[in-house]
Amino acid sequence: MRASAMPPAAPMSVDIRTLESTDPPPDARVRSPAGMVWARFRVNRGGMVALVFLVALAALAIAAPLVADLVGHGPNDLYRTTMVDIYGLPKGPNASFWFGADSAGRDLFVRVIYGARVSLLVGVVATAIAVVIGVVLGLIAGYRGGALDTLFSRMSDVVLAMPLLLFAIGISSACSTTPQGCVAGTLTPGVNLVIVIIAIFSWPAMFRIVRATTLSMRESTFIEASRAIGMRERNIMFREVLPNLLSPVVVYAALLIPQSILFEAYLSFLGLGVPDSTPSWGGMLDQASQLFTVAWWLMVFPGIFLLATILAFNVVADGLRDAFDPRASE
Amino acid sequence: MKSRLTALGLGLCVGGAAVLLAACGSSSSSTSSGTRGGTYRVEATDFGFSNNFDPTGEYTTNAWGMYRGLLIRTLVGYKMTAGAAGNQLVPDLATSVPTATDGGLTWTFTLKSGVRYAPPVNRVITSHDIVTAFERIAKPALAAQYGFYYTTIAGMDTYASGKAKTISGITTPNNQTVVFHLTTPTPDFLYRLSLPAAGPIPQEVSKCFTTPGGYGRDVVSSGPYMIQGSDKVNIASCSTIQPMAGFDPSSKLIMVRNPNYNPSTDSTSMRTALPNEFAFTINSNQADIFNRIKAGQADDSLNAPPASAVATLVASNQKQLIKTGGADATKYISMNLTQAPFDDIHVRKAVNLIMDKAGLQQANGGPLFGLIATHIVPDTMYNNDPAITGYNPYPSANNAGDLAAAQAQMRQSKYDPKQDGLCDTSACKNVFTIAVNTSQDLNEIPVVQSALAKLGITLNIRQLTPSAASGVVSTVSRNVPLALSQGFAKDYADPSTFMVLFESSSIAPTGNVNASLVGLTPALAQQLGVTIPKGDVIPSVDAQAAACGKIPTGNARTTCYINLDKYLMENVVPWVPYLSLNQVHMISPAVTTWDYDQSSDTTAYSHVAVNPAKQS
Repeated sequence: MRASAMPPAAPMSVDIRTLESTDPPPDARVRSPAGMVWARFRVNRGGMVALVFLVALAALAIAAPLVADLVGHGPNDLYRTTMVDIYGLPKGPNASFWFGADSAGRDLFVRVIYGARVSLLVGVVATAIAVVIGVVLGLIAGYRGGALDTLFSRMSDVVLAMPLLLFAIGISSACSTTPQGCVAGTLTPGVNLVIVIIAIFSWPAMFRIVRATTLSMRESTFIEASRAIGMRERNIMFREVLPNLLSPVVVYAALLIPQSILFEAYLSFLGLGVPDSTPSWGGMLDQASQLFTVAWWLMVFPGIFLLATILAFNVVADGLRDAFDPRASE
Repeated sequence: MKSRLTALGLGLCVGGAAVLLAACGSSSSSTSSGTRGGTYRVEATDFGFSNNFDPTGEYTTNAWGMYRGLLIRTLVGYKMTAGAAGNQLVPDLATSVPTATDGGLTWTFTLKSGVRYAPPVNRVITSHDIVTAFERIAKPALAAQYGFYYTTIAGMDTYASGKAKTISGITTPNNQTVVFHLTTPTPDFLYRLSLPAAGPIPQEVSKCFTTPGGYGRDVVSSGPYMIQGSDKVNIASCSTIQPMAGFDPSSKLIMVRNPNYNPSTDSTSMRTALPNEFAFTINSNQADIFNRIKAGQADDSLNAPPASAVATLVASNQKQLIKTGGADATKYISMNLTQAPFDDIHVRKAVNLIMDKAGLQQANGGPLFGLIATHIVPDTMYNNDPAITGYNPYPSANNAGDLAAAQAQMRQSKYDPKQDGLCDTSACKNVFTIAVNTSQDLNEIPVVQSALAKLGITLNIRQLTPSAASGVVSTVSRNVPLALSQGFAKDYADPSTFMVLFESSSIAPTGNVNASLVGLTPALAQQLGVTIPKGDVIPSVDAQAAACGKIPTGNARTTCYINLDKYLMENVVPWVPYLSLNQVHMISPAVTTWDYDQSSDTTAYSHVAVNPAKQS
């Protein structure tokens, strides 16, 4: 046996309180699967820090109007006489404007906080839609096979083959030329359209993961046993197979959220995302790209928040993967 | 009619307030120490030519500046200097500026003798070369983009349709005389002849180019410079003609001296022609362009410098490197008279009164980039007539908007039933609005939103690229109530070029330039699929515009257009004009002489000079 695989040495002294405790030792507790995952996740220091950051960010985003009230500046209030110079260039951080102002004279701090709302909303909702589509189609395709499998697989191939950015630009432009938007008025430019575009391009990856996992699971003995005792196919799919997909789905969803946030930032950076009156980090970075040589704060603050959020989601996803499958990290 | 400003993208047009000129650079020639020699190096992110530099159809400011200063002489032209003097017509190829005869229907020009084409043509320019230019304008296949200016010449239509082999309205009694016969008096006809498409074109070369833009790479010069490689082109037959080596639309346009140019046929007040060469090159990195200009590695740019670069130069005591000139262009918000709530003149007046024009000026880079506009046509187009300078029907303190006056107007509106000075009805909520997504134009959006919110008007804004925005706004059936960041620049220095924007004859299903639909009749509305709100009558200025158009150029004509401008602002109110745009240039320390070409709204290439020793 290699040294690294040896059990740890016994402590030289033993805490009497441990010996007197009536609780079973942690490892001996009977836990739910979720409880086990959480127990494994919470010992991941990086994951916990990232999770706390995300929870704090979400709280801040929800409380954005309170923050604005506290600061005394709304996200679209203009302070052009005090915070914009004669050339239309914004002024930097000071006691009243902690992150400085943008070129319209709006408080960048307040807008960054409001920007978290858009990023989190887009990231979570777009991912949720993609997950639902990907899981349902992947489950059906993997379990049923046949024509449905071929149909859904080719659909995902088509979506993956589409030039994502050009498609997004096309949809955004096409839906911007009339008050009604497009698709019989169901899609108008703004957060909803961004969410739909991101979801359209995100579901195939989830579909492939679910389909592949379901395919391998379909032939396993516990599914065979379920069939043998007369369970209906639908029940097998949703009561036996689906719970076993939880691990890859949750982990991939956690990775999909930062991708969605970044995609929203790309779209807003290109002027195709949410309108200017709705603060978004991508939109702020777009403005910064014109002015960063004279207004560094426009780039730094939204950039830091975007970077930290993406990083946090990725670290949480990494932690979840380890928690779901501890052998993978060994 | 087409807005060259729109074609350029509004981002290129910027300007300077008199109050700032003293602090931030001068508006015209920097020094008088110009010496002959050197290369004037101009960089741009893109040439942006609309017709591949073929003068018959080319309709961009940048190309016109190059043509007039360097390549193409027209019968009448300009001194290519800043201000009102730069808008005055002077003879160029013609011996004098004629006056019309035959009740304004006939214009006769005598060409100067001894003016020769550059290589490879080399021969003397004759009146037949003017005819060739108009034959090209008339041919639909060549897509002359402003050919509408010449439809008053007799026989243009029949020649265009192929029913005639010549244009009956243009005659050449001899090689030095050309006579234009018009179907209707056209007092601004001389201005129309100053446009580059009307310059001489040698038939022996142009006959080989029968598609739009084809002649652009083999333009034969009549000016002091020619495209590099002109002398290497073999014009023995069409099959031997190759593109001139000095022009590649994707990378460069090099011009060298025309060996056949005779300065004695020209005037130094029009062209001093000091540099030996002009090099226009593409550099896709805009920031790099201005860094290179500062370092003396380039001398000028077709792009306007960003406000940040201007501010940096001023802060480092290099304000002499910033040059400005009035662009004879107006930036405005367009309101559609058929769409609620802007079908009510009181709402339109209230919007004018509430608008924070100082904020919009700041959004565009500040006073250096444009003066606050208070009416439609820039003052310079009226030769700064005292009857219009200072005219402001919607004044406010510091040009920041007058809430009390705006609310007083709103109370008179049918959209304020509560009489609280706010637009109370649903027509004012989420008003469909088209905005342009260039950086300056995006900066305008919060200013407009903030101002209109004070009147209870909220906007549903769509941010589009300049071309997409133009396409939507100019399509009548889109029924766009409000269009932000609109711009229009003159084609020539006559107010009629602006007033055509309000004539009912300009209304077209697509490509419509009368976005406010001034003069729309119920019959025309039905044709276009537009619904005029019940009880509304769309005002018309057709009669006034037609009356002004018949007056010969001069004070009476100017006064007529001034009155029309005021009538539009007070009784029609189709726009919120907010900026008289300037062109801003950053030049290198090696430029010893610089002037602004008011006629083209570009650098006056015919009057610049460089010191090669200061170039790096």
